[in-house]
Amino acid sequence: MFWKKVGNAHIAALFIGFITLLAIAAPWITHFSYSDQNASETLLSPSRMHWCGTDSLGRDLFSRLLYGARVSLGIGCFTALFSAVFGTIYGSLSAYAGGYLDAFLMRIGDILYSLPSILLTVLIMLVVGRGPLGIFVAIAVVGWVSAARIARGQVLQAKELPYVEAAKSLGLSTLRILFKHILPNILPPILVNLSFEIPQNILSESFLSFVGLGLAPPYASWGSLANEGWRAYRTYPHLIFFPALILFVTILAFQVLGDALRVALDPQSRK
Amino acid sequence: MKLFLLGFLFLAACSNRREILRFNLSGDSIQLDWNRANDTNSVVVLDNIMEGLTTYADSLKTGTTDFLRPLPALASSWALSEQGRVYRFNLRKHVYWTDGVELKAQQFVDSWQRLLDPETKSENSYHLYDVEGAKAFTEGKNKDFSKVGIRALDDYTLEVRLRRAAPYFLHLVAHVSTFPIRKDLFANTLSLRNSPDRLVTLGPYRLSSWEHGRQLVLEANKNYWGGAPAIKTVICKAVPEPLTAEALYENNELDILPRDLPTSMIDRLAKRPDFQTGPRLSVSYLVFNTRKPPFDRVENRRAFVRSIDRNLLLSAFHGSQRATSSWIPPGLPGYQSEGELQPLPGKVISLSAPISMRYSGNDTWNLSFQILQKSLKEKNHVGLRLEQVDWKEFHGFLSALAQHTLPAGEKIPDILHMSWVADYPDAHSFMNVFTSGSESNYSGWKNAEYDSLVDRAVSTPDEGERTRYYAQAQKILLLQDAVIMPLFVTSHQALVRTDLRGVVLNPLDKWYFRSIHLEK
Amino acid sequence: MLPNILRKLLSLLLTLFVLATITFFLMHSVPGGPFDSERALPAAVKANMATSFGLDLPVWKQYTKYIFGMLHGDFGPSYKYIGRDVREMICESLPISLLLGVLALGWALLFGLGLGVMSAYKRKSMLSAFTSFFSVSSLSLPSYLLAAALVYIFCVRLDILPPAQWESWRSMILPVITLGMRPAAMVARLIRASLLESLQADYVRTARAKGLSEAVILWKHCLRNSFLPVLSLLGLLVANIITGSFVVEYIFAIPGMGKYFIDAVTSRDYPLIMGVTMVYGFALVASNLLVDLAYAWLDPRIRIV
Repeated sequence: MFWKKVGNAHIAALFIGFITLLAIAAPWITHFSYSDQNASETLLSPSRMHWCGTDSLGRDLFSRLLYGARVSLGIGCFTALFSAVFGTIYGSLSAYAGGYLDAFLMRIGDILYSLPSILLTVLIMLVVGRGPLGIFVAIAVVGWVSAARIARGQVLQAKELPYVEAAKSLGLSTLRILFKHILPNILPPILVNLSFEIPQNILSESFLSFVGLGLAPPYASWGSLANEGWRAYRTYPHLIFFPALILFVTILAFQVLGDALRVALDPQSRK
Repeated sequence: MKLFLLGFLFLAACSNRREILRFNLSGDSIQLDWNRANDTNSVVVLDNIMEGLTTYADSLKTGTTDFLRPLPALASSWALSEQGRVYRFNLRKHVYWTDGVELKAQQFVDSWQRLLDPETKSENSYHLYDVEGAKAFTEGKNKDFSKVGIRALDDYTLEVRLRRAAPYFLHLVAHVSTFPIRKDLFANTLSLRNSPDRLVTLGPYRLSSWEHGRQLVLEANKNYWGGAPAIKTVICKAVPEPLTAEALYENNELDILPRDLPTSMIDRLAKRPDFQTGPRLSVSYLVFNTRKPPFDRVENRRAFVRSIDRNLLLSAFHGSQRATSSWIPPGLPGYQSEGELQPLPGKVISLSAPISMRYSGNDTWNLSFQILQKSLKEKNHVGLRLEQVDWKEFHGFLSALAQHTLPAGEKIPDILHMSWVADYPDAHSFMNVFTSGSESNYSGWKNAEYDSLVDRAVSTPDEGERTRYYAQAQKILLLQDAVIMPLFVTSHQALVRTDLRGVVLNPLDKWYFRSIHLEK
Repeated sequence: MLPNILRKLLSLLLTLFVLATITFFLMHSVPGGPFDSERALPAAVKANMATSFGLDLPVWKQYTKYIFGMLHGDFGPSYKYIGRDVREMICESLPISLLLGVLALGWALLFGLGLGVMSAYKRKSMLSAFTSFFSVSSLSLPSYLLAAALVYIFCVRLDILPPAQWESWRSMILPVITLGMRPAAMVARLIRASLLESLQADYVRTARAKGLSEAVILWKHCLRNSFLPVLSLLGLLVANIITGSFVVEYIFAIPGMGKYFIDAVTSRDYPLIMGVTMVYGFALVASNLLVDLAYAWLDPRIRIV
């Protein structure tokens, strides 16, 4: 059983690494650029030349998916990373401060956490603008709270641990204790959280694309490609098939990885 | 016997179905106050439950131009005098509202007073600005309505005095905002939204129910002066998503998809017998920002126009747009089939900095402008930055631009993409946009000669002479000063069941159900 | 207990108040206003429009006015759906969304429960592998893609279900399945995990020793323990169903409340944006509160703090 889990997770991790590599190396893998139009080769079905076919401007869908990976994974990872870092700092400071400040800070977090985040995301997107920055802000603004909660919980636990007490009595500075002794404790659950946040963010981005508030061109993300494909799914199935497939498999991989990480890192479920 | 009964029931069900027409409105934010209605969906509903002094042809007899001739409706005839400045409309007698009250000329006066009154908050008051004193009344400069040139001479005669001859005036009185109102009933219209069947109207149909978010049901008006229409019930559904609407049509749950066919399916649909297409009076165009470099120089504007091949950009639209180099669209006098600034091969324009273009539109426009972007880059090494913004944001920006209230530091893009839909089928509706007094002229360009040509054309009764004036003015706009670049005219693309007769794709996007009947 | 409930209620009100405030100021800072249209309006007309909706006041005054109105249950008139009151629009469309949501939730619980139990019962079977794959994969697909696949299979290919609208029970099947798929997957995962955990517990071993069949153990002893974790998931499920309803109601042309939200945002219909946000915010916060209370009631060890 254990072996099997690790096996799945390994495949998932390999796949994510592979996709990331492809995204980074996109210009060297495909000789089509994501924006190369070819008026005589529009809406072609998959072939040896165009592995995933072409879209209505004759652009190679495979290259668009590769470059789309940069946008989608970029948005997914950076927002999740930002949320994790900001959330960790916020949560641990709050726990460390304790008392009224802690109660106040966590009250803010609780409130943000219980808001219908997608509604705010849509509004923030319009305020900031339909670029990568807009999506980043819109998703990150509400995304950090879960990390903050986890971090706070861990710090509260760690504060009571004997070696932290000892470090305190030795007169080590607060920051030093936080970084040296407490942070390593927080990391595992935050990492698990991170691996679930990334696919969530990729999905949020595709939701925004669907309601017409996604990235404006020239950016193309998996979400916007899937949305374009959805509008043509009855006539040109390849346009929906490939974006949906890659979106699906990638999110699946992150989920599997997250599950495995949780099992591996969470001492409670490793009985 | 049983079989016979069943067969009979089946036939009865069929004939019952045949008196129902199911039409798709993309939404149901219907404004029932016709003085204030101006969105497409509201106009479709109101054009069928109400009527004005004039209307448009409703059956296919000759060519498209026939649809654009105003025909007598509530006015049975009219006379023009004093060099085309005074209209006298003779109202049809024995026309009754659905509550039995007879139509009187005063009801038009009431309506037009209400339309012009700034308190009504109508976006349509400009329709009557050609009437003497009307504009001043709307702007609040004149509070006395008796100074506005609208009068009921008796119960059946309406006199309208214009401030100048306006050859297109008969079109304006076919617009929903000028339909008569019942002042005695209007105070309680607001409460009528929930019981629409009590709405008093006089058109070929009356509103019988409105299930919010789902559909509006129109029933034939038996007392309509022109006789009850053939289709007894029209159901206007509110299906927002084109793909869903198309699927419902295929599933035989809709009979007419008037617009917004799914772009990707059009090539396939266009081969079918139930696909109909026709011209619309709507032109999309690029406006240059003539206030600052690079397009403050006419050479750059002309070169830009010559560097673009419109036909290239068309591939994104699958036939819903056609290329045009004329600002006055085909079908109207003044249309020029051959633009003089034809695209040139090779490098035509050289600009040092990339230019920006702002627009609001869906994915199809995105595709089209990405083709533009590519062709500019490849042929001319000119960078084009596309700024797609949401519709309200775009128009918020435009109105700030027009009223000079743009926040400091906000840059005006070098090019704006816009489209203009004719208010009335006359060249003036287009040419007026770029006169210096126009609020829709965002170019920053003014030309006294252009103004005077458009002005002279309006007050010229002779058709040929008018057309010549417009041609001259258009030459200034497009060739001499190259202020705008017309791109496309829009086409209707609709799916209509083949057993429906009398469906007219009106170039003004008007839908009259009264003319539709089923093939016997 | 009672003061605790009071405190919870108070924090619910506070959350809603913060939500109203954030949404109000956010939407007012979105560029473009409700009356920006294709034609430039005469200044007098535009001024009258602004006055009639109170938009000529400074934003903070509009804000206090709005909050006071809302306290009296007055959400104001819609700007886009002219002549209709936002409260009335909500009253008309909410029942439909609620029905859709409850059906989807019910389906998700039943389906998720079935899948979860089956996969826990036959731990090493193909079925178990399939359920875990299914539950992870349902979480990995945006709902509009799922809707497309379902419509294609059941309407276009098989032609056995209507593609849209909310009329007969048959037209409800596809939207409910689409909307409930994600929650179902979440429930299935949770049930499976919690069953697997409790199957290893001591009392299960005792029961086995007593010679009870595996099925009886599963149903009688373990499932009861899974009830609490599923309950705690409820808030998340409701959030998911709300988000999903925006897409599902639009695609399937359902006259519910969800489809108003994007519509209201794109037309800058401020009162409608506020109305929809507040109702959904309330649904979310209240479901979390209910979960807390139910928890305390079912499991006396947990004190709500």
